[in-house]
Amino acid sequence: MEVMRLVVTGPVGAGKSTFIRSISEIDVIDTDRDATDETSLLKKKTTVAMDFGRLNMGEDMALHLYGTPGQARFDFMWDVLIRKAHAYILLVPANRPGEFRNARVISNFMRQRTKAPMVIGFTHLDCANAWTMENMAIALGYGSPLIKRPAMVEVNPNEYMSVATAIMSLIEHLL
Amino acid sequence: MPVTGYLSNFSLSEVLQFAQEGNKTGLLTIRSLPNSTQEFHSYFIWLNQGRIVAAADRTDYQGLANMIIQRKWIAEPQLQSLIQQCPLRTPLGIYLKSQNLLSAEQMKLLFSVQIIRQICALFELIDGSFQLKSNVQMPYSEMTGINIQATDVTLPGLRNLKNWSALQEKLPQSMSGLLATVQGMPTIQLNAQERQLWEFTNGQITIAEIAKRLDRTIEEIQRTAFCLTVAGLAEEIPFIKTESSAEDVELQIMSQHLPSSRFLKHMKGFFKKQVKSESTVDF
Repeated sequence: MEVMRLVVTGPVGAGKSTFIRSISEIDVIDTDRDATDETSLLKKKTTVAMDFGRLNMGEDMALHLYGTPGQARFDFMWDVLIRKAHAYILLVPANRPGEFRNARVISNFMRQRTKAPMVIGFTHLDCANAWTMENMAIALGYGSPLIKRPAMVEVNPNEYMSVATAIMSLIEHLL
Repeated sequence: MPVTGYLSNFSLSEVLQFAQEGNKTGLLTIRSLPNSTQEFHSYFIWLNQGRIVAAADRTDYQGLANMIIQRKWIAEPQLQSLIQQCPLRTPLGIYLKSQNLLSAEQMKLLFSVQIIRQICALFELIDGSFQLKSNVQMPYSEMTGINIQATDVTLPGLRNLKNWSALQEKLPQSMSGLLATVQGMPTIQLNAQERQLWEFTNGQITIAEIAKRLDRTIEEIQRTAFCLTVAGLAEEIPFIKTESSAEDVELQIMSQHLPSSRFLKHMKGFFKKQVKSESTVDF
């Protein structure tokens, strides 16, 4: 069985768990717990260790999806997930500029820890006051023409096709 | 489309970093919130390619003229007449200097009061809204002709900040390190504490450890680290303490091997088929 391990990361409220649920053919194994800090203002549950989903693409091929915790409290679980990743997608909520700094720090962290290919997926672009993809790219530290930008795509984590398209753009970079 | 938000989410220092890194040209408007305990005000900062060219707390384009009149450097009637004579698209300061009415030193002083002092005071705003709008005309009668990088006001602004409560969530974590983004010493003048921290911007040591070595509190170092990051001089790099085991090494080796191209092609085909069938159903 050949497996591709895809890590889905990003700040709180980016849609990581939803992204995995939309594409996984099994019930997502989560480690959600009641949110107790500022996250509770946004949602009742938050991922504390990881989410896991799977998609079989034939008898001997599968895509495994691992979601990181949203809060940027980097611990051993991040390390385990990153070491195993073949590729990763960084989800960034366009309507939550307060999370752009966290997303930038996560992006710095991932770039330091792994050379695996990445795609940035911008979510919630349809929300009021959402920033444009170009402006978010700048806020994430990709403003200078001297810095090589990763692929950036729009994603609706609620829609299977949108998630599939984001994963396809990642595959394009791997091929 | 203007970039909008609240300073409680995206602080002024982040807005200035964004404007500079994005080479933004336009008008940045900062408004204190109507229901805040602070007096309601609007502030205007004009940017040209990521550099601040003018700032004012009024929209009649008379801020610079008012400063000159207050200092009795030029009488009001004469100055108003000079404003009318100032060639199109020429900053008023440059025109006055070309007429030998103001010196370069006077211009620097005006710029310092207009830009640095005024914007630094904005860092004290606990909350407010911001809007960065492009495609605006430059306010030539508010311009001295001098400009600075947007983040050049960040360090002086944050150094004097007394209430850090609004930025608490933004501070780098104690288990993060800092990695310099510029080579050599920064061109902007650092204070003693910033210089000390600068020596540790190698991405190899945590903020908690730096605090111990410099005999300062973690929060002090976190604040200075935040200053360096929003001034565009360093990036926060989170650390994880791990002990590599044989299994870890094996995992690392495994992750270096990407799935086979046969696998990737199959996966691409799989998703393409799904997308195609979905669009067929749609129609």
